Amino acid sequence: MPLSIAEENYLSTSLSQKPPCRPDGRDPHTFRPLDAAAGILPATNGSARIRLCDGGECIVGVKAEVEVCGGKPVEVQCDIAGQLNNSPLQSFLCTTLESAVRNALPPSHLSISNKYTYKLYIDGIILDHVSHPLTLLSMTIFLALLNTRLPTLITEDNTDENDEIGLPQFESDWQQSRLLCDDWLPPLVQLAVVAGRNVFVDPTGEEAAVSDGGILAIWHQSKVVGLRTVNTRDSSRQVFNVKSVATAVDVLTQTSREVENALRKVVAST
Amino acid sequence: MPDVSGSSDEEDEGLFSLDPEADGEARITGVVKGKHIVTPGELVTSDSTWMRGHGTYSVGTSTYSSVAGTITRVNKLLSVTPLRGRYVPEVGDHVIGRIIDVGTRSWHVDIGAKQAAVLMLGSVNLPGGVQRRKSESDELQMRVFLKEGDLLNAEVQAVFTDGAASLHTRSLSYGKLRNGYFFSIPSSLIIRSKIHTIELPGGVDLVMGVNGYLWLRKHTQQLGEQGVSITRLAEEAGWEIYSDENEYIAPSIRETIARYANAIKALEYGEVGVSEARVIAAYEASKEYKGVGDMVENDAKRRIAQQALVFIQ
Repeated sequence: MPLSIAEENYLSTSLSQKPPCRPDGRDPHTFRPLDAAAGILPATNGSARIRLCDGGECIVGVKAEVEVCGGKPVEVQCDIAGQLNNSPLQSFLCTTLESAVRNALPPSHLSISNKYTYKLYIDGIILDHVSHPLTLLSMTIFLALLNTRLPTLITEDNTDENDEIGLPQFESDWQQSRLLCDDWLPPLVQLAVVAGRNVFVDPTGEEAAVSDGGILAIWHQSKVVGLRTVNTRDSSRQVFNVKSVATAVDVLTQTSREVENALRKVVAST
Repeated sequence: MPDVSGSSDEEDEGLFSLDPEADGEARITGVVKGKHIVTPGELVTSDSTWMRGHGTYSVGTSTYSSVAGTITRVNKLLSVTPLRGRYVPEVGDHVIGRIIDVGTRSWHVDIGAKQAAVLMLGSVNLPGGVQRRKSESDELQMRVFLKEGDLLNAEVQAVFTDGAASLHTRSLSYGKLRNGYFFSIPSSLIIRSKIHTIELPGGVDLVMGVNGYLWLRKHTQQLGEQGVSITRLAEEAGWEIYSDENEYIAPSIRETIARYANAIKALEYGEVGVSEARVIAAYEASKEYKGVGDMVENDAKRRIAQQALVFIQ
């Protein structure tokens, strides 16, 4: 539903003035409260659910399967309630997050033997969203990966390349499993919107609708490793001030660190 | 499923009859579930003398609730008012709506009801006064007056048999909305009163649609307040009533609007009904939080909603 001209005018002036005034009065780098839980699906290797206060909700399950080496190590799929498959938003979410996780994941973490490897299937469902679902899905995937456990191998690592029957055998005791993220943290993808010189994280739907455009940052190992612009409104207008890109990196660095710490506490408490 | 075989005495233990002293000549006509909140499928009364209203269904002689809500009684009519659900328009309601479609000689307006409301071209004030005849050129330039996405406040003029509403804006207090911010809360939380356009402390007006749509705007002199004589009001209404231009709104007013919006959302979070007194009380309670943004936390919302109720008492 489009905003009225007067409404849009009010919002965009509020957001681009100095200092900005968001409709709910938040600081540019403040998130709205959210509800997060990890390990909610018993039939998966790792799972998580996040609910936002505006009604947005996302559930992610991670399944690890044993496959012959050589394929894609990670596959991200997501369903968005109310949208058809292969919608632009869906493929944008899947490709962005898939490449982010694949680039960040060290291959040694998934390898079983030199013939077999784990393949991670990360499946998400976005039950509802009012604001842009990228940050929501990324945070839920982050949480699910932190929660992911892989069974330990009991067969010796067979170095004989010609051994055809050497199927890997696993420990049946789930207590013996190891965490996927023992010395490694998954990436976080955060979206910020730009309005004039100001940059806002966790934009509401109406804030995104009146913004100049969005910038996403991929955060991994305490630094921003990727940037991209995102179209957040139904118009071709997508002009940023160069300085606002630098501001966006600063703001996203700060919030990503805080979000990462907050989500790690969620997993630690479960 | 509840027991449909009729009411046994044990079942009536937890039931009581609605107070017969409430109206003089009433007599005890049957037992009605004592607690006021019922869930779908719950027995409301097993007495067949009651008439069954909205939100109920009957099996045999018993009446059951079909929604989760509170039992209301008007004389012999029992109905259950749902706690949540879409807004049900009633004649005379002051509502806020958004244009979703421009049709022939009418606009379709989203008012949060089951169906879109209709605003006829003949039910709006056109520039040039009441006496002016609607011409074909008006039909052709309907988008100049109101277009898709535009917000307006209006009154429900009539409700059709299928539940759809017909609106009118034939008063200078109704019409296109400017200079402010729109948001919505569940319509069940709005407390009906005589006045739904409220002047709040801090230079802000609140237009409180009965349908749960709210508009907070900078306080400006409305057309009727500018000393124009009543008889000339209509002639004074020019094109400016359909203007899309905002006036200058100072940053402090924008912050006050954000604070009021958060205060009302805090009442919503606490499931507290929204009325003029409660909005002002919640605003006063919110002053405890220096930054408007601190009010988005759930603890803050809960506290403000509690404080607002204490202030009223």
